[in-house]
Amino acid sequence: MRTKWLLIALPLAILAVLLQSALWVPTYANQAKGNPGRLVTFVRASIGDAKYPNPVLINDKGTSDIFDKNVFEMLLDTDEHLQLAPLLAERWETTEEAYLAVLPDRKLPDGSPATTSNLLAVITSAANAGKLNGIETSIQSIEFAKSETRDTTTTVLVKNANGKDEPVDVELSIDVPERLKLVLSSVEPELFKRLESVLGKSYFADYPFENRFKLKKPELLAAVRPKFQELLDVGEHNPIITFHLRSGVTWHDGEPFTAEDVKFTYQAAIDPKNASPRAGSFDTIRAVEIPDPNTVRVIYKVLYAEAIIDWAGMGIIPKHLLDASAQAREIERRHLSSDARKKFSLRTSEFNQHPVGTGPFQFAEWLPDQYIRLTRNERYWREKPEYRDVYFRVLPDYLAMEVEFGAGALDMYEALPHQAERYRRDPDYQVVANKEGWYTYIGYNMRREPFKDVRVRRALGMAIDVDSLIKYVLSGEGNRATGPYYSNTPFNDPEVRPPPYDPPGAIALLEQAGWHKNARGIFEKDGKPLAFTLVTNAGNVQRKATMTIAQEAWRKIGIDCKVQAFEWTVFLEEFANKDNFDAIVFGWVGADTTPDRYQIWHSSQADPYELNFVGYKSAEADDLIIRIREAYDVDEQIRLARHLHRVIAADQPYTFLYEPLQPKVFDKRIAIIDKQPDGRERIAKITTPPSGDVLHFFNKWRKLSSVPELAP
Amino acid sequence: MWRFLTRTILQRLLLLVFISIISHAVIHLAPGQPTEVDPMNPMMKAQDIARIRQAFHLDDPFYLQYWHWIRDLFSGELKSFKDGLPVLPKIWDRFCNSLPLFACTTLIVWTLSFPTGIHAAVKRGSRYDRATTFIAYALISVPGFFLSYMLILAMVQLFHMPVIGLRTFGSEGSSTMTRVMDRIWHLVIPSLMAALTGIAILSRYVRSQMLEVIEQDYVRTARAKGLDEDTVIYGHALRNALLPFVTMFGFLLPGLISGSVIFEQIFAWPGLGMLGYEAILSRDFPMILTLNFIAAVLTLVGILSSDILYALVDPRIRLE
Repeated sequence: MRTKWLLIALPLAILAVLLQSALWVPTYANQAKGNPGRLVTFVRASIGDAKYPNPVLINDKGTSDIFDKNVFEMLLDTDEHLQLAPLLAERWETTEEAYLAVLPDRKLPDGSPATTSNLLAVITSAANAGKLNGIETSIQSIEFAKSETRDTTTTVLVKNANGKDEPVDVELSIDVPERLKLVLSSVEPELFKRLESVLGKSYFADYPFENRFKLKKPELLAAVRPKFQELLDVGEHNPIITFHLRSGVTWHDGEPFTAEDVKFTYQAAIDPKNASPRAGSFDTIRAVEIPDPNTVRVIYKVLYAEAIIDWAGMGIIPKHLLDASAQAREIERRHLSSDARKKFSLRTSEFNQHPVGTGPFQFAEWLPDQYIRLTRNERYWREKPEYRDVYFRVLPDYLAMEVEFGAGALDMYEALPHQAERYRRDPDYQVVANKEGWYTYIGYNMRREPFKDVRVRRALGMAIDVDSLIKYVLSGEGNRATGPYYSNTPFNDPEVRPPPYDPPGAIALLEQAGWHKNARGIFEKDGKPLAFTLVTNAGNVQRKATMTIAQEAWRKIGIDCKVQAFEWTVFLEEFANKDNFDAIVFGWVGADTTPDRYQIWHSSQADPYELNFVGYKSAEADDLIIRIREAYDVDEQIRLARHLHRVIAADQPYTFLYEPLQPKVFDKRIAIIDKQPDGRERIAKITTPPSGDVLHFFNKWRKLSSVPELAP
Repeated sequence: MWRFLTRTILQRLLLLVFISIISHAVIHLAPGQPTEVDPMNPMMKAQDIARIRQAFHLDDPFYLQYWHWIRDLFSGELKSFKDGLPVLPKIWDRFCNSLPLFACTTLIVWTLSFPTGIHAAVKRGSRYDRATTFIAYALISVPGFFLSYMLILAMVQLFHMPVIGLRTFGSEGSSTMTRVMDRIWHLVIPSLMAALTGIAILSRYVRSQMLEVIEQDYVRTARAKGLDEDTVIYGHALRNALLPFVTMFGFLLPGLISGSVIFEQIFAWPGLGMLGYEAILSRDFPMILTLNFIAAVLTLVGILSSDILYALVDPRIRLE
């Protein structure tokens, strides 16, 4: 008997205890009452948890969004127009020291041997006669540099026993000959070309470098040979960036920020122990010098116009918390095992659990897979942010995000297009679209038939109605993409038109390329049908829809296309990385500040595991890509980039589809507060700045107690 | 008994070694690379990726990688690829988050299934029996995530009640009692949802066990003796029907890791399931392998404990 009643009473009792808790939970409307702190707290969502919160180790956008510019600051910023602007560096200038080897066994055009004095005389007279095409004005002095032995290390990839590339540091000493040092007031990529016309072409050709290199391990000679010219050349460009740092900036722990920290950041990035994903960006640096505590001179080995942008993306880390002596103290404090001591690096440092930067927010707490909280840095050197606390909540699911946003437990969320459409009609919310460099495309494997023919690629693009796709799949939250540069950057050539939506035209183009329809209504050439497989990664609704729409559009004009979606890492490993696919729906994100497209479009980057996985090879594009990398003048960069845009758009290695906007939804009560010089506050609506980053002025955002009346 | 125990434990340990080798091989042979060495990341150059691969021993032969993993696991030096944090403390943190969810789910499943199942068996063929059968099959067939989404939407749209996460976000200022109840409330919805399928399956099982026992001779004898129906059902029949369920306790253990992946993901519950899922997505090998290893240990311990429990409650079984 007792058993029976126990069996019935127990579950009822448990359920009663559990469910009564609902009575205690306040709804959100009540909760905000009597909680003024909520107005100065901003809660954001993040789809995944952060990884290493150390700029030297960050390689993912999620972590970068949380820490870069909030906790860590760079030397330079990009402003709302995507132009470089001062941040930790008050100002900067780019100059150059160029070196010209003295080769006395070569003859100058007048027949005299190229001794130091003869060279000097020829160059000086050419400069005085204005024969250097304008470059003479930037030559400040010409000095004599003694021959020297330069000990250096370079990293090369060597195949190991398993056939995998393994990075090897090669130590070598270079016997640098006597040289002339030309001090220039700006970087002159054309300098040696101009000097060529004065000294003769032969002066720069075929210099026997090899006998000037001494390797510690001579067996690596073959691996290093491709790098010889980079290590020593007749003419050597040494661009120099001088940063003048802001004084009075302090780290969150009160220590002053100095040039030592900048130098340390560089050293940490190139230290092989830290295995930094940013090491490659600093490969081109010869030395970082600090003439005084507020000045940093970065000397480069080669022309590398990207250099300045690298610094705009590299958060500076505090030396006093991470250098060798700080690491030794941490090892002592944590009583690490001898094995852990040996492997100790920035990757294992406790700094990753409480990072310290100079930014407007300082790190407060991190509950893994729950949230990261940042608080306002009350000692910030610029105007302090309006919000006191910023939370980044980990919400792994889009519905969870929407639900929490609806409940008021999120202040902003990146809505899916169809959700954004709904919020746009709701008077309580504002929707502002982010325009971050991001585009979706269909890439064709140009190593394979039928994609070798540009007419086929063009016809495939003409068959797809991209405008309708944007309208229905993206609910209109997208722009047409036309090439490798995003439409809100100056590098994008607005004149480039995408292939028109024209199925009959596509059919005509295919027929022109020698294809004809067979009995089944499928295009055929030499007995082979026009059939291929289109793949993408699973989990991205828009890409999957795009894939299906493309398949349907192609089927209509007589192309047999199969589609498949694979889990992300499988997709990368089996298809993209091994170049093992016919066609691929994919997207590129980021890199909107730089015109460099070397990794994605240069023909040297088309091997497996490289990013030019469609195998695009164009001599014209290669030349432009290299020239863009060496162009220090912004206008020149824009001119070359637009040219590259036109070249790639004409070749259609991708069908460029759309640039999805990322609509951010937030409360109408949030507005930008502009403090006027006279102390008054002007309230402005949040809009998308030309750079596309809605959060650019986040530090000026404030949540008002009611919806502000804004002048139209 | 003791000889049995020592022998089984030794066998299981050997088995564990094999499991760890096989799971190591499977995970490394499966396609995909850790996201830290994602070659599709334009932020990194080939040599940076190669250097990180080297630091993670990714290009070493398999036996060496296995050795590195085992050595680091037992010396406590094993670090996640994703954030460089030690794996074991991380798992322990998440375990503490998952435990209440697991306990609450189990409690609901085991307390609710028995009365519903027994009643259905006793009233076999009645309207109640048919209704519960229908509901049980419906619950088994409808995916749990679908019901969860429906319930979340209902809770938020109709009642404006927060349901996501461990607790209501931003409720730090309220009284202790409210905070405790808030935590319980956030536990209720996911555990109810996770329990539904369990209730459906277990109550069916209880019903069929009871039906089998009720047909037995000794039940008829008990009735013939003139015992009242409740004593017959709950005193005589239920006890014997309970036997197979004792073994099921053992199988609960591995559910600690695998049981709640979907629900933790939907409800943003920072537990073991979410940890494992995220680890798989980013191919965080040390984390996946360790979770796998712990799951294997729990399974083996579970089987062993159900063997022992069975011997304890059923005098017909001896362990030799």
